[in-house]
Amino acid sequence: MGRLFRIAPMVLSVLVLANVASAGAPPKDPFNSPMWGWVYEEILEQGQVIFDDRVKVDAPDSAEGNFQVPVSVRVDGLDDVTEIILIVDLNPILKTAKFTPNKARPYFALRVKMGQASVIRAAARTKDGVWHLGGKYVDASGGGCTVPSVQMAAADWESNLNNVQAQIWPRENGVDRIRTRIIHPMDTGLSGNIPAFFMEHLSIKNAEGVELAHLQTFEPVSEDPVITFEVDAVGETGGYSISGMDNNGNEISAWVEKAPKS
Amino acid sequence: MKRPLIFLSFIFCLLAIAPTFAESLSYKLKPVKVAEDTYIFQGSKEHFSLENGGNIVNTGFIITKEGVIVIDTGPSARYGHEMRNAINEVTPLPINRVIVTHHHPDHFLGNQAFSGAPIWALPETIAAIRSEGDAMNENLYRLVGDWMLGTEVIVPGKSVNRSGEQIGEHRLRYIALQGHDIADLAILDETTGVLFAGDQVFMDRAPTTPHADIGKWLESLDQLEEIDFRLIVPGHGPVIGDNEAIRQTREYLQWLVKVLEDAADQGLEMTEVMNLDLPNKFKSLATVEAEYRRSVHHLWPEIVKRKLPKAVDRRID
Repeated sequence: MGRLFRIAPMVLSVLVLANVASAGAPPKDPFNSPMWGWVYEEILEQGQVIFDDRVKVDAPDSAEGNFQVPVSVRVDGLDDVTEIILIVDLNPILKTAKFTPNKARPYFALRVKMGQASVIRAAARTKDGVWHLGGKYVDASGGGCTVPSVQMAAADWESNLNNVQAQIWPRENGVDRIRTRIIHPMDTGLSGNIPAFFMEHLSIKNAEGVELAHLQTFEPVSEDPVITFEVDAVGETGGYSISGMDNNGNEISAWVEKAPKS
Repeated sequence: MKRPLIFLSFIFCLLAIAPTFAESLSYKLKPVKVAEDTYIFQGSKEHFSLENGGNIVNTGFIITKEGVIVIDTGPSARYGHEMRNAINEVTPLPINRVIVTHHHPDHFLGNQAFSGAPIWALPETIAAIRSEGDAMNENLYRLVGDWMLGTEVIVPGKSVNRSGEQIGEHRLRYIALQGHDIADLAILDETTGVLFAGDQVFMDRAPTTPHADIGKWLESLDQLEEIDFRLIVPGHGPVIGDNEAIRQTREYLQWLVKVLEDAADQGLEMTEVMNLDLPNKFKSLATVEAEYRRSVHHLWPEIVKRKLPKAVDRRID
């Protein structure tokens, strides 16, 4: 019985591979990741794929502790980016975030949890349906020895849940950079008997309620997510709403106002 | 049927090779006399690597009529054993005690080699080794590999709870500090004027910050500067007879805090902060590029947490 279970996925993957080969095999992964075939089929749905230097993923060469690994994604020189998916190949949950830049630059930054060394990749889809892929290999074998503070061990964790901090920095070319931090344990459901409990959606909207940027977040985003966006500036004054929801239906809703020019 | 056999024989080959390779590893520790009765083993200024086996730290010993006082035991059981053998070549006297300065793995994982002697440390250090020691040990196995074979955590059993004591002809002063680690013990041998500063002080090498509280660390450096010493043994880097190591450590830490706070005010995000150019004056510090990035990891999340203003809550409730 055990052997059957072991063989079945192999047979299946052979069948699937044969299928892909006829539909056009995936291009060779420059990172040689063992999960590339799965990423190609399950996340990119066998779409047309280009490994593209214009999709830049920045992260440290080596992660110091595996709980707050910074990642930024910037697409530079590609028009009409409709979505960007962030994938950590060797995490038990690969898909980390999906960004929709409605009226925002194709850029976002956040921090992720990593179970081991892995390629972190961004797949930016353009209007023509093509996936443009960039990535960076991050060694996460250790270097630090930090034990993360577990906020739920504190008696008052619930009173701070989904509290929002935020600030706006006007940048060049009519862009406002917004950084927000949301208090949330972001439990993956893979540890002990703690169920998955994580923020699922985050939106930046203007005063009229027009969505400028949307981020779908998954379990591997770090505890107390800190997320940076760059949106079309609202003007000299004004602000943005920050709203969202976690997988238990708890609401996130806040407003951040531009600091008056001094 | 054949495949398991091939696999097994492959494993046996590995098993046969591994010990031979491990046996050939040696730190080649040589005691250097820095003052009367006082010796150190000086490590490299590097970060942990497969090549250096974790020998990046300064350990030392003081010979007294009542036996040898060992200060820190290095990164592995192998290091501890080599240290003990090297001490035996200098003096036939027994080990009187071991004193561990703080709970970072390169300072206490050689404890195993000193069985039979009491091991002293600050109470906070003992608690931290008890709770985090195994994880640190595992982490060093990952970073330096076979050098660690057989290394296990030995928690110090004796709590340093006084300001000093006389051991043989040597008068020791215990200075309990904080900031580099949750607790840092500096030891001044008042008889010789040698100050074992632990990792409170780095010389020609970038300070490390995995458990740092920079504010407390800077206060501790002020305290160390008040001390009338003749020679400082820093945790990492060469010994020095003046305040230069304290000055270097302070200057770097002050710069580090300022650059991170400024970056947070300017709205930089974490990867951008890691990519900042370092000032030329720090470029001569060993490992500074890598150590700076590690420090961003350690310190940035708290700075962002503290600096980001609260947004207006619009939840209906």
